[in-house]
Amino acid sequence: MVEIRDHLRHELAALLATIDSIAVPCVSPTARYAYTPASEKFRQHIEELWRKTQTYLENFPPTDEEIDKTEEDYQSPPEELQEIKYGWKELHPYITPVIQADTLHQPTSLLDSLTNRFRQIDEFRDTVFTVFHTEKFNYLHLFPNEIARVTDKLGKLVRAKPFPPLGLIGVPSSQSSSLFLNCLIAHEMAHYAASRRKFRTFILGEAQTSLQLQGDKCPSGDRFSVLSYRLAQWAEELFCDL
Amino acid sequence: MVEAMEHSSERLHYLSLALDARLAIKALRQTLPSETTAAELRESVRAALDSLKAASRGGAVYAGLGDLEPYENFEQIYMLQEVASSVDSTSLMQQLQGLLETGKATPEAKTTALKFFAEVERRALHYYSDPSLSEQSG
Repeated sequence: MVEIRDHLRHELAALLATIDSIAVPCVSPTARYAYTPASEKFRQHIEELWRKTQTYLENFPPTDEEIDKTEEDYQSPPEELQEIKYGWKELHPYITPVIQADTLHQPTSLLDSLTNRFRQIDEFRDTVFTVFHTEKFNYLHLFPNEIARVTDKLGKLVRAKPFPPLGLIGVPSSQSSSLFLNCLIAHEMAHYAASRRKFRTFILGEAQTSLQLQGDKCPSGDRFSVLSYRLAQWAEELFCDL
Repeated sequence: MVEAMEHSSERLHYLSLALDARLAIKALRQTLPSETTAAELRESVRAALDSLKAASRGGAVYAGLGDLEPYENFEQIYMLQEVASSVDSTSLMQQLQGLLETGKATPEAKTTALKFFAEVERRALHYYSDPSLSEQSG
């Protein structure tokens, strides 16, 4: 039993060290840089999530649950620790890039202008967008529903606040001052709207109907599901271009 | 880019499912038979039950789905079908229905629900770690 406890302690120490190293850019950002309110909101949320995760892991396993302390249960790290690690692993690619995108390294005026325009849509009056730098030569949006849900659930697990309502948009790090190319940010904002309004679920029915109209050429079984899903994904891309 | 985004998105869907199952397991472990189940646990059970019913109706994987978070994406409902086919799904749905209607977790319902959510979590973590879904393996 002592060996099992040592093993768990070792796993917890390793996980705490990993999470500390992931969160450190948000916990102690360089004071000489200024951030947009959206980036600051993101930074504060990550800092709070880090503190709550630390407290939770320091008191792991929770005493208010029936934890089976059988040897089998601890042969590999409990699932919960894996999920906490994976949750932080998913946040990892975006933490440093958000901190690097201070107000001098992002198209602040253009972003403000596009955000003001976006907020004219009724249900998005409070939406803000955080920009992060990506090493890829392409613009991308970070699945707001997916990452928010994962972060929310991770937050519930460690008793932290829910993820604030913000979109996360990646711009190539070399193009932070390029006006015309940065107009692609509008396309990524549309992905945010599509995701919040569950556009893909809605368009999927249309995609299935279109495939069925192909008659004999219409695929069947799993292939039908996969193809209709792919068609709906491309419809979303077209929607975001409009 | 679409390919890479799709893979990241799928991984997040699996992780979201695993975390949801873990929260349900924790809530179930904390619930005594005499107590009324927590609202969040009832929501998890309701989503699972509605999705199981939709999946058991047959047809396309996506048919009949809507706002059934966390089982609203293709891979999530597909995985739920896998879990349902590995257990006695009629009995599972009866137990979950009972838990939902009475708001009480009888020992039998609790065990069935725990086994179900543990299987959802196990498979979701397996698919999340699947190297074929990884954006950059190695």
